[in-house]
Amino acid sequence: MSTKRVLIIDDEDDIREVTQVTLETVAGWQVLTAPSAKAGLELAGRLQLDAILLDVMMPEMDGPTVFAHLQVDERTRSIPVILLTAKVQTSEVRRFRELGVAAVIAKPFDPIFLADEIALILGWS
Amino acid sequence: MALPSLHGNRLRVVVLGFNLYWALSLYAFPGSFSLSTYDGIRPYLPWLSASFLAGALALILLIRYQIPHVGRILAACVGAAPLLFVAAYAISVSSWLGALNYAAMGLALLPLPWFPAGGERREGRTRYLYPAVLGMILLGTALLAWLVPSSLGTPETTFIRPNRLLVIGSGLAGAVALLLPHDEGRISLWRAVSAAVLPAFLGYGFLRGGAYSGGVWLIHAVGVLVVSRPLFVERRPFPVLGAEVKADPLDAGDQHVELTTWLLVAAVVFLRPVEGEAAHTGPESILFVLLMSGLNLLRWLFPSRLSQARQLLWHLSGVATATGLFLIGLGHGDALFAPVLILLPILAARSLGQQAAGQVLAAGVGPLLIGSLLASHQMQKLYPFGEGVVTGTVVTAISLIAIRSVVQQRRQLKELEMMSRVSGALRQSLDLVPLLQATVDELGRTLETSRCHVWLIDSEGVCTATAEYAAPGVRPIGVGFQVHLSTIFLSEHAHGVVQVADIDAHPLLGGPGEALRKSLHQTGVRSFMAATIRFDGDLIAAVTFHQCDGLRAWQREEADFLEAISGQIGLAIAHADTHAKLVTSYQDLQAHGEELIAQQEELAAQNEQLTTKSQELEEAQEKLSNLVDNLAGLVYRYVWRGNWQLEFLAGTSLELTGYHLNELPKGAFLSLSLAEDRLSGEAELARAVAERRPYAFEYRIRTREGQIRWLLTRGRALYDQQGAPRAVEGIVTDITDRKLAEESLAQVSRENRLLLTSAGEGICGLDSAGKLTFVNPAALRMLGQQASDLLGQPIATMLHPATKPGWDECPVGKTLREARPHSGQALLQRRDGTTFPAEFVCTPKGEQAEGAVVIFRDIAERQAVERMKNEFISVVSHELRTPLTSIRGSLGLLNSGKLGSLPEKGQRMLQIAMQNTDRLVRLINDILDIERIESGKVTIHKANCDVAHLVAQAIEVTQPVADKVGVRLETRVDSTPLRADPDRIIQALTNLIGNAIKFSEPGQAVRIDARAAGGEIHFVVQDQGRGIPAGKLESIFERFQQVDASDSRKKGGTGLGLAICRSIVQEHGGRIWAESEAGQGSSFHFTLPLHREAPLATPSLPATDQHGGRSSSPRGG
Repeated sequence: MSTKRVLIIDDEDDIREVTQVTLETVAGWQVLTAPSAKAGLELAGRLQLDAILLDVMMPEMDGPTVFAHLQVDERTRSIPVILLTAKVQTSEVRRFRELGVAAVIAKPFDPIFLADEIALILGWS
Repeated sequence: MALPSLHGNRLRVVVLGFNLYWALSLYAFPGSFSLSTYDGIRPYLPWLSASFLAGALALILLIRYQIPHVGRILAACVGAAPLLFVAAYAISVSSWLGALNYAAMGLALLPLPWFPAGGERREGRTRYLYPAVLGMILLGTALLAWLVPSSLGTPETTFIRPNRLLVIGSGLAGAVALLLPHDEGRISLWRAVSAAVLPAFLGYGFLRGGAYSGGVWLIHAVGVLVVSRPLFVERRPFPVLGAEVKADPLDAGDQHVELTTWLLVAAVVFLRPVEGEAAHTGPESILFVLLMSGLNLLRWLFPSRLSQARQLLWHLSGVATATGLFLIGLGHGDALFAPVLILLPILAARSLGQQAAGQVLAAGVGPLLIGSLLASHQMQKLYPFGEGVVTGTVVTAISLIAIRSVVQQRRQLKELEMMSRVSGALRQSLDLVPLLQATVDELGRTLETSRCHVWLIDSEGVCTATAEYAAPGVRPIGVGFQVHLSTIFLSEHAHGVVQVADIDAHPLLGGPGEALRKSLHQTGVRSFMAATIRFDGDLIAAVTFHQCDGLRAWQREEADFLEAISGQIGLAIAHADTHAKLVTSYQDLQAHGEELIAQQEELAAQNEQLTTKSQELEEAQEKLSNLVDNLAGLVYRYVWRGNWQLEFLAGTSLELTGYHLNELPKGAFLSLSLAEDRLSGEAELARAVAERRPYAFEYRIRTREGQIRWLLTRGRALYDQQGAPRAVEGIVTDITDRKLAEESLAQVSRENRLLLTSAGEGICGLDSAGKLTFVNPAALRMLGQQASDLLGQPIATMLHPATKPGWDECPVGKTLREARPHSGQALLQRRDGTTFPAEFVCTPKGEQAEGAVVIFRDIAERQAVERMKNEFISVVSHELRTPLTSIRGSLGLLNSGKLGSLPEKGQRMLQIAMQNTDRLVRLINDILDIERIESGKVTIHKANCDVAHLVAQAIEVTQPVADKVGVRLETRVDSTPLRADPDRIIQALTNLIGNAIKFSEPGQAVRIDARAAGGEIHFVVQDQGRGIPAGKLESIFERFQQVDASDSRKKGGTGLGLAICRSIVQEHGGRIWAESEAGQGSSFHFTLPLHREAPLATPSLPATDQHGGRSSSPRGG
């Protein structure tokens, strides 16, 4: 299994760091981070990515909007996006799924199983 | 002295006669009593005589006086005693026949049931005592003579013995005639029987006993016929001693029978007598029989000539007959047999008339003693002659007096009858001539005169014959014949009655009266009588009688009678005269009367009209009266006579006031009214009268029972020509009920108004077209509107123009069409153009939705709160989880050992931190969940799903946990389509399965079933754990309620799982419950409806009818 390159877009520094460490430590993936939507979009357009973990609630531009931008851009359209959200209401989860994202993972997550879950979702065996 | 009616005493009277006879004859001729030849009875003969006398006296008392019952019985016993004694003695000497005769008569006196006194009415017929007794005696005689020949006595004591068959035959014939019932149709038959049988035995008697015996029995038979004949002929009371006979019994038929009888007897006497019996028939007997027969023959030959002496002669003949028969009996040496024969003529004599006692003496005792006189003369050896003569003379004198009294009485009777007839004639007419004619006809015939006249006398004394009667063969002198007064009365001074027996011998008709005598001779007059007729003392007429066929000695009684009748004639003449005068007056009056009649007819016509009117008025009055009586109130009329006075009052006062009409205080009901009402009422009345308009006012009265009643009076005043009020009339009705209803209504209305005005919600009433009919103050306040601007407008005017829906979609329209409630939210517009969101419910008025009520409330504030809450939840959700995410991730990394290992204690602390972080996360999630579900902020997204799939998904979620603790999950689920929110159902199932796993021990199983039944799907999650105490089965569905407080720590539960399940199930319209027995595990059940419509939307669940939804939803942006 080749090393995967994953981008985390989250305005929360702590969460971004914990997630990066988790995925690097547990799964050994190459993890890039962006502290804002704008930075995330810039990275996504520039780098070759295997997946994007996208926070929903962010200042300036929320997760769904970022996802919309990603879908608009030819370069990023095919990158699977997993939404990470602290909003656990079913209705919202359903709404997010309907956007066309690969999955919605609720915060807080168990770092031990996070990589497994992502791999399972995206079919990385 | 009048005797009482003898009805019922006939036999007693007869026996009385016997008793007297025997008493006297035993006293006078003891040797003539055949029984006295026996030595045994001879010493008692004086006592026997005394006994008969006592019996006679007792019977007199019995008949004459109304003695009490016991006394009557005693008297009857005393009267019967001698007869019974004789009967007993006859038995002792073997004279059975005599014994039977005496015993029957004696017993008949006693008050025994088979001898009823008097006539007895039975089966429509009256039976009479005497014929019955006589018939029984005859029957008994016949039977005894037939069956016991020795009963006839020894040959030495009776002559009857050789004639036994005659006794039997005649006895039977008489008994048949008297005893058998006789109806109308059988009268002639019985008479024929008697008439045929008796002559037959008569002939037999001649053959066997000789002519003498035949004659005796003939007499006997004729007597039976005579006494029984009235029964056959006229069915009237038996005449013997009776007071009820009216017709003269001695009319032709009976006279002929009687005459024939005596002629036959006379013939018998002269026929050759039977050997041994002729010796007893002396010349005296023959003489008497001849005398009697001759008298009867004369009477038959010259009935009219003998008329005046008729009764006397007949009685003399009866006396002679009795005497002769007695002598015949005596000639046989049996004095006691004579009275048996005498009885028959006595009975015939009794039928003469009314006075019983005198006739008994005359017909019975008198002849008897005459006979005894003669008998004593013939049989001097038995009794001294002189004594017999004295006794016979005295008794004969008594007899003659009695006979005279009878004759006199009959004459009086006849005069009364005549008077009655003449009076009848006088009353027949008021026309004088026919009246007088009828009178003279009657008088002439009655007095059997040749002529009778009535003469009217004028003031000059000239008499004119006005009515004339002339007997047949007598030449009348003619009506209109005139003579002078003196010619009639033989004097200038006419008075009373003039009687001239022989005109040739009268002194006044000699000398100067010779001319008058000659003129009388010319008209054939031999005797004459004249009487004056007066009225008020004036001589007005005369009545005269002429006798032309011989001399006539006018009787004093005739003069008396004429004097009496002349008064009546005078009265009649006067009346006739008055009548004639009246007729004249009447004719005068008649002419005048005709005029009057014409006037009267006119008046009558007017009167009739008035009567008709009056009747109409009466009818109208009656109708009105009925109407008023049935009226629930009073009708009154006051008139002004210086003050108002009640003139008329009618109606149902009692119910209205508790007073009867006549009890009402003066001033009637107004005086019963309460003071405050009275003043206002009187004021209104006065105003109305002054303004000449009808009035109506209400007032209260206090009834007799103290109740308050409301009355309404309505009426008007009537005015005279000057315009002054003269009367007030009106009607009073009870309006208490109406008033009470009004008050009650007002109360309800007040309360309703209060409710409506106090309500915080806006309330609008709509008519069937959706137009506003009512808007409450809250609604007006919310809308900033005036009621006047809204009422009558469509409800849509309240809406923001941009949000007005079409009528078809409008919930109000639906409510009015479908007649069921609808609800929703809308954006309403205020008067100033601003808007506010409102939630409303529209309810139909009545089942037919005659309108609707819309209740709405401003929800702007609530929406703001909701927005804030949502934001809060969002913030909590995010702001709590964000730090938790970092904590949980960091802890998880550390714990994984990827970043290096920790000492053992450090590792343990790290685990504690991680577990509690997880628990905190779950808690936050559950709190948010339940809050949102219960506040309705979670939308149920129903979709078609399958029960089996849902369960599979839930198991998929929970299987890892189960595996972890070693619990088996078993399912048996039918594939059933279901419409529900799959996420929520899975959530509920997951919760329940998770719970079950938590409370199961390793190795135990959790069973999940789901089955469709009764229109719903039934889920069961069952474990084998410790179970739930019964007291907690319900409370575990409450928030933070767990069976054991330590569970939340041990099992890591939040205490909200079951509450969430319950919320989800209820949102789907299902039910949830738990069942358990401690130690036996527990099962959790919930049901969901299959194929059921969503429940009616409520305001709190705005899923439908969001008619303002396009703009008003706060969540849309």
